[in-house]
This record gives sequence, C-alpha cells and structure tokens, in this order.
Amino acid sequence: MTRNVLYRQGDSALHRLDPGIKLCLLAWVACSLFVYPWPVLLAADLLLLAWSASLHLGRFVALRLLVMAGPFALALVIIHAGLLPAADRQRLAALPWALHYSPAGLDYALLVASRFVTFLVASLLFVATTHPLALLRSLEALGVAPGVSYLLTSPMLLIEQFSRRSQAIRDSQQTRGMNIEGSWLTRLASLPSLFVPLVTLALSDTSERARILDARGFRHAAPRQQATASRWQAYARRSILAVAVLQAVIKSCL
Amino acid sequence: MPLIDMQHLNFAYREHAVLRDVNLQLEVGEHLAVIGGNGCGKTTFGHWLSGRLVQGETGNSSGSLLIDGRPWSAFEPLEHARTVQFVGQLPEQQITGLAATVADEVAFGARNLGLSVVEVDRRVEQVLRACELQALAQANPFELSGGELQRLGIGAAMAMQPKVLILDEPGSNLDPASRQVLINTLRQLRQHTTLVLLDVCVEFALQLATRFAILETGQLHHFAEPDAFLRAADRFGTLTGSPVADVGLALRARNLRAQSASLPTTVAALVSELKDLSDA
Repeated sequence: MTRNVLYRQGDSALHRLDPGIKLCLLAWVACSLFVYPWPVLLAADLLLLAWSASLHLGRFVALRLLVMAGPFALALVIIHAGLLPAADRQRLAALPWALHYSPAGLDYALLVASRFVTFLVASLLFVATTHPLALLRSLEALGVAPGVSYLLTSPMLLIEQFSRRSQAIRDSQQTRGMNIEGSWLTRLASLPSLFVPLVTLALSDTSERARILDARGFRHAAPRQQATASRWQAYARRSILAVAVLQAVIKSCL
Repeated sequence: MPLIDMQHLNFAYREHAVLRDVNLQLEVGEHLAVIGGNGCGKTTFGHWLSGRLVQGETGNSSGSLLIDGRPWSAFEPLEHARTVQFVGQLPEQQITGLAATVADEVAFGARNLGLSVVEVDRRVEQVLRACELQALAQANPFELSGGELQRLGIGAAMAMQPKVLILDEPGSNLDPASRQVLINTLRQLRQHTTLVLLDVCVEFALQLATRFAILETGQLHHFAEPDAFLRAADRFGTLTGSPVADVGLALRARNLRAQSASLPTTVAALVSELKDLSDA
C-alpha cells in the first residue's frame, strides 16, 4: 500500500487485522465508553498509548491527542469543576487564597474527557493501521453498497490530495506576495484566501470524480471479482458486536 | 445505421449559443478529429457525444443524438460505461482516487465490468505496455507528473474497451516522445474503436484521423481530405501544431510552393517536396 497522510505502513498484527474486524472493535470501544467509569477509561487510554508506542505510533498518536483533546479536556475541567455553580464547591487547599472547585463537576469533566480521549486514541490507531483502500475493499466484501463504502472512505482517501493542494495554494499565494507566515493574526487573516480556493476546487473535483466513477461503472450492481470475507472473520465480527451489546445491556440492568 | 447520429443539435448555456445546427454521423471504427480554438465549444461537443450533457438537463438544446439508434437516456449506467469513455483535459481529474497504484487505477473500471481476474490482468498489462506505464505500475497515481497522469487517464479509459473513445486535447501535457507513443497506441485502436479527438492543433489529427472537422462559432465544418482540412485550419491562424504542415505552410507563405498544391501531411511527403525544391 502506498503512503497516506494518516496511514502508517507496518506489518504488525493490528496492521494485518481485517478492517471490518477493526471497525467492529471501534464500535465496541464506542459502546464501552458509556459502560465504564473514568478511571477504567483512563487506564485503557494508557494501555492504548503504550500499545501505540510498541507499534512505533506513539508520537503520531500522542501529538494528535495533545492537539485535538488537550484544549477540550482543559476547557471541560475549568468549566465544570471551577466555573459552574455547584452545591459541593470547596477550596482546592486549606489556604485562604486557594481556588474553589466542585468535586462532582470534576468527576463529570473527567468522565466526558476520558470518553473523548479513549475514542480518539482508538480511532487514531484505526486510521494509522488501516489503509483507506483496504477498508474500502473490506466493506465491499461485506456487501456494503459501493456508494456507501466510498462515502465512508473518501475523506481518508482524499485527505492527502487536499493537503498537497493546500500547500500548492499557499505556495502560489506566497509567490504573489501574500504574507501567510508570521504572527497568528497574519495567519488568521490569510485563512480565507486559502480556504475559499480550496473549497471551490474541492467542489469542482467532487463532481468530476463522481463522473469518472460513473464512467468506470463504479455503481454497477454486478459482483466484482474480489476476495470475499472469510468465515472466521464473520464469527469474530459478530462476537465483538455481541460483547458490545451484552455489556451495554448488563450496564442498563445494574 | 451509424453508431453516432447527431442531427441538428443546438445548445446554449443560457443565452450563449455554443453549438449551432451540428450534424454528425460516425460509423464503427471511424476516427474523427475536431479542431477548434480555445473556448469554441469542443469540450461541450465532447460532453454531448459522451452523454454527460443530455437534453433538458442543462441549458437550452434542440435536435437529436442517437447512439446505436437510442438516446443516451435509454442506456443503463454500465452499458453507458461500456459504450463511451471521455477523457478530459485536466489529468488530475481523470483518475478515480480509489486506487492505490497505477495498475489498480487501470484495473478499477475493468473490475467493475465483472470481468474475470485473468481478463482484468490481461487488460491491465496490455494498457500499461501500450501507454508505457509498466515502470510506474506500483506508483501512487497522486504522485505522478501531469504527462504520466494524462497517459494513465487515457489508459484507464482504454481498459474499458469502449465502442467510442473521446479524447479532449490528449497531447496537451505530453512531451514529443510521449505524444508519439500515444499516437502509436491510438493507431492500434483503429479497427475496434470509434475515436473522437478534440484538439487545438492538428498533429494528432493528421496522424490518426480518417475524417476531419473544424468547430468554428458553434458550427461543425466537415472535411473528407486532410489537405482541404489543413487549408481551412490555416485560415484560423492558431490551429497549427504539426511540424510537417507548418513547414508546408511556411513554404507557401514564401511563395516557394504553389498556392494550389496539396499540403504535405507526412514527413516522407515533405522530404520529397524539399528534395524537389532543392533540385529546382
């Protein structure tokens, strides 16, 4: 498989695992978020991060986690533990100038943040070890309609093209004398001039690509010549989904 | 019954008329070259022929277009794909984006036709060889140059083995050597495929076409012979591109050849003419 912005080439068991099974595992993680308390989820996060590091994906996952989840988690803690009015507010320490916080608010903030972090880490592991085309083929083998599988995988497939185009637009704007580097204010001001052509070109490309896909018979209903999913994979997928449903049922009964 | 039967086609984007009373009958295996300047409506004409534009969906149109006796609206999507392939001018827009490698991109359409793995592999190998893409078979399509992408787009269309192949300015991104490779490849289609070339220069037309036309102010002027076609093309000034024809026109401009004499269309004819000139 060739390089992709999110996909990292490798030969680990997770890389080789069928994308359909990985999708089911992701669904199981999503269900688990509402079953387990935040300490369990945080422990799971640490395990997932350690696993990422063992797959040489530690930096990839940690950096994205920091950028995407860091500000969100911080804001949650500040708002729910420190700012919102609550009956259980108490001093952070026994000092007269110490801040007040709500233990219940902190508990809630940690729960939401840990759910977000867990799903994000699992998703990053999924996209880093699953090439979009492998996912597309797997979905086709599962009998998912070509249009639906394309809808699911195209964002991952085209993200690299978008990144390159974005870089090309930035380069051409710089050569025309536009200042797109420097302070954050300068960068912010240059954002519309990058965003508008990027979106316009993306829309034009979308319609052209749809035409090309039609011209290549993509939506044809006849079976393509491809490998179908094996029986053990089907068992594995069903088992994972069954566990996900079962734990949700048990949780709701308790 | 002709394979393509276009009768009195008129088409306008709002008030801007693009095609005016265009008539065309094409038989199986014919190679038509349509030459015209930028913005004269070649691509729109190609979109009509390929079924991308159909009556009543965009703009104002009148007239009729039948393919094998039926309008495009009567074709199922797969039959449409088997019948015609249109390769546009922008190479990066001619790939599906659903293939990890060049070989996959070529195989993509053939797989969708439900062909056997053996047949798909045969077509891929044939196309990669014909378009000189074997060395790039495992490359990422998004990492190819413009010329390589152009050859890939044309190759992927050829792998569908359509009845009609429409190429819009096929040589625009290619170096001279690649243009000649593509011309040689397209020559092999002669017996099996109806080819429509839309171009601003006459190089591909002179080497491939069996029929010629010029699209000017929305009207299609047909020419049976290359000479009459070249003379008419010369009237537009910018419609050059064949070194052989250019030399012939330059000699005529300097009164070194008779105004009424046929223009050379092959290197051999030009060499012979220059030899005669030198002897004289």
